[in-house]
Amino acid sequence: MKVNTKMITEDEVLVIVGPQSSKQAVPAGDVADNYATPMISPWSTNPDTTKDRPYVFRGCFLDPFQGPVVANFITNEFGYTKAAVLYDVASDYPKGLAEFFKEAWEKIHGEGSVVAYESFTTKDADFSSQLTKINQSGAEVLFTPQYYNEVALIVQQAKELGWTKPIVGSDSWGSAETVALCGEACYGLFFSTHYAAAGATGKTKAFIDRYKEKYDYTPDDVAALTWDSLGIVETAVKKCGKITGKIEKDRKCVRDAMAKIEKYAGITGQMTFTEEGDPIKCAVIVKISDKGEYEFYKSVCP
Amino acid sequence: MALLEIRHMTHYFGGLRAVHDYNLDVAPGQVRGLIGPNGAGKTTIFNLITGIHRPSEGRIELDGEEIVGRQPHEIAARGLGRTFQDLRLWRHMSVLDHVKMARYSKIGYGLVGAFFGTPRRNREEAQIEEKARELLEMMNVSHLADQPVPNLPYGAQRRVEMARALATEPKILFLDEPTAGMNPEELIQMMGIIRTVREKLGLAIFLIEHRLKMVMELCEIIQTLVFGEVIAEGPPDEIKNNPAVIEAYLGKEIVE
Amino acid sequence: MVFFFQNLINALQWGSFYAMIALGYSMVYSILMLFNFAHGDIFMVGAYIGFGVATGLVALSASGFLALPGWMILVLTILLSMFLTSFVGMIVERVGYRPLRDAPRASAAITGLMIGIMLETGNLILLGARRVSFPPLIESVTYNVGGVFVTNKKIMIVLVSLSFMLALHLFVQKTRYGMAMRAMAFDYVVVPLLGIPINTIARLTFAIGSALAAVAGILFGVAYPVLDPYMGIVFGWKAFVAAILGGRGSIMGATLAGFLMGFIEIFVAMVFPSTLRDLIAYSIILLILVFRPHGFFGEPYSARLRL
Ligand SMILES: Nc1ncnc2c1ncn2[C@@H]1O[C@H](COP(=O)(O)OP(=O)(O)OP(=O)(O)O)[C@@H](O)[C@H]1O
Ligand SMILES: [Mg+2]
Repeated sequence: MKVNTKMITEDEVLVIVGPQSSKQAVPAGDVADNYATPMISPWSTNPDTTKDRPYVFRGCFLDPFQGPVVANFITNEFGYTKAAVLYDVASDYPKGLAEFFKEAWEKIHGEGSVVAYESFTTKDADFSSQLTKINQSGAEVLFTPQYYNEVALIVQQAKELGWTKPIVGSDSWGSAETVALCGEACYGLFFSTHYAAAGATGKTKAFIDRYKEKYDYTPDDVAALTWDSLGIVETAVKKCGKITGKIEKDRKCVRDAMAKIEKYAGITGQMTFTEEGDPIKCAVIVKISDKGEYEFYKSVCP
Repeated sequence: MALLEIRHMTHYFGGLRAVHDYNLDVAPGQVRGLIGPNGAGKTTIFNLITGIHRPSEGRIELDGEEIVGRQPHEIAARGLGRTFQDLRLWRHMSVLDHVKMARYSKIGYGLVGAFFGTPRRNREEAQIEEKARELLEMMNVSHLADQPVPNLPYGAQRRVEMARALATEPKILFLDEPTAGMNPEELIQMMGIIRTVREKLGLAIFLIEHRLKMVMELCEIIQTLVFGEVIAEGPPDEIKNNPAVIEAYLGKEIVE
Repeated sequence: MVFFFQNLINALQWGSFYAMIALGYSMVYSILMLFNFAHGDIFMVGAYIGFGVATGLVALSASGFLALPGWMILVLTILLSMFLTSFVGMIVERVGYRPLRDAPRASAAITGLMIGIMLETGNLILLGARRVSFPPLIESVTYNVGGVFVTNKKIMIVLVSLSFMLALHLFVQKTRYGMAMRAMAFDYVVVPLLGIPINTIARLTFAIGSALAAVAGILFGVAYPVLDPYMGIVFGWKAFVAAILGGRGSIMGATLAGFLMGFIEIFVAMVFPSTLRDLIAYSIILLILVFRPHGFFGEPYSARLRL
């Protein structure tokens, strides 16, 4: 916080890239916006970071955004019309995402097309009654935006109760633990996320290769999103042309240029900012391969 | 040598001196009585000897061994059995189970036997049952063996409790008001049983009783306890005519 | 109908866990008049000990040194873990409860909670916050019986837990130790006066309850193979409710109530939205307790602790 104020008032920075986590990005965004200094947080997913702050942007999509993404993906990929949802009613992230998915799904397939909307409570281990209901409901696909430990239990129990249809998740699946705990039961399933290293092509692959060469490990989504945020800033600064030296004027110029950027082609997908400074971008659908790796499957836009 | 020997036993409950400088010698096979008004400390003396409370001062020797500070189950195992003034039976268990339960300290099969039903366990269980039924016979309750205790008449329950105490094969038996609340018929039966026990098993008995007539008839030596102190000790005739005892029981059951 | 039977099968499995844990609460309560609130965490420890033993045996088997089939590993895991976990129970009794035997019951209850927290954090320190996955010892086979899906694991779990409960019942009814437990349950004071050491019985009760919790923990690991250090808390509370519902101190009661709770939870979720499951399920149980305050088999007695 202090660092942020110092950077703005004393070091007279033109634009800030960071911080990453919402815990710091929300207050830092406040400072940046007050001093009319453009800032972009690559990884903060909390809506408050950019809300009512014209000078603050972000590089990633918000949680709610995955609802429509997954709904679209399932509809286009499989052509299903009846979906089931199973989520933890006591946890913000899954609960929010379940609601957004339901809304999006019913927008496409009509009222009542989410044929089973079942919940449980954190720490539950037995989902048999919910899954039996889901089985019974005639749903063609199950969406469960849960964390890795629950994913393992849900998927295994679903299989044991005779569920053979696809199960789809969200970026909370994206931990290496998911496959470690779930094992083969999870092979072949899909989830949405920001970016996938395995199976990447083109620009993304080039970035990964260069990163690997330099740091000797595969870049994660934070690295990729930061790379894109830097690219956006670069584009905006170039658009402004010459730096006048009048810091206030230059900052305003950069901010306006960022807001106007259209279809920036980043390694995590194409981006255009909304009025709030949140990107409209495509999400990545990952498929868990037969070896248990997270493979890039396709890019899905809202 | 005395079977039970107590010297200078004193006990306080907080500030209350419940027992003061109590002494006792019981020879094998002897029947002793302890009388005294309500709240005199009679039951407390039983509790001190059986190890439920630890006396504040004094020594207790049972069968030649100091037992102050020992656990109740150790003292019981050395040959002390007792019944309770207020009849402590296990309401949910059958008559036979009460007696079998008491035999269990006498047998040796271990956890392995318990879990896997070894021949040893089966043999010992059979012996226990036989022994238990013998005792019930002696107590005149064998026909009720499989009943849960609450189904029994009061007098019979008292006899079950006695059978349970005897099943541990004590050398000395403590009876705390064994006829309390009994009707005359039951009373006569109980007196008969106490005599039988003494004759057949030859054990010493230490009896607390309010019914003086009964104590006089059964006991060789009687102590009178008032406010935790023995005020008189001697054979029935002596006690009957002791002015201090008469005063303590003034107008009470003395004429019964 | 298929729907009903499917739920029935689910409830049988779920209820058997409650029943096994409830038994541990009930046994300890009946002889010591105290609820061992660490019992849910002993269940957790049992599951982790089972995890350790199973992982070790799997590794041993994989090394080719001692090739064992999966079911054999499971049997060995259950037996070894019962043995090891019973020591955990005995230590808890010796260190946590015996010094407080004559303390107010509230202090003893608090002790249970504290020991529970110690076991949880101990586990965290030992193994870290990572969830561990219980090794799949037996290949899961799903049978489709006219639309009702049953796995070999489910059948095994229900049968194994039922046989342990039956064994416990026989132990309590037919052996000298069990008889002493029952006697102690009603009158704490008479038992030592018959020459039976109550500390031995207390220790044995904790050992058996804990061994049973270990069985439950391992079967739980087989059914829900993700273990975490806090898995015993809510589960322990619910099993505790089952123990109360069964009637304090009643083995038969705890077993039946455990299954009943499993059925109520599953069938409430079958009929009502699952969000309301616990709310409705526990309202029903509360209602039962209002009409049967002593549970199914509880006697309205208060044990006699004083002479
Ligand atoms: N556990 C205890 N704690 C405190 N005081 C006790 C305890 N047990 C007995 N007392 C007190 O000690 C005194 C003697 O009681 P005790 O029961 O020994 O009398 P008793 O002679 O057996 O009388 P009764 O004829 O009514 O049975 C009483 O004042 C009683 O209140
Ligand atoms: Mg008395």
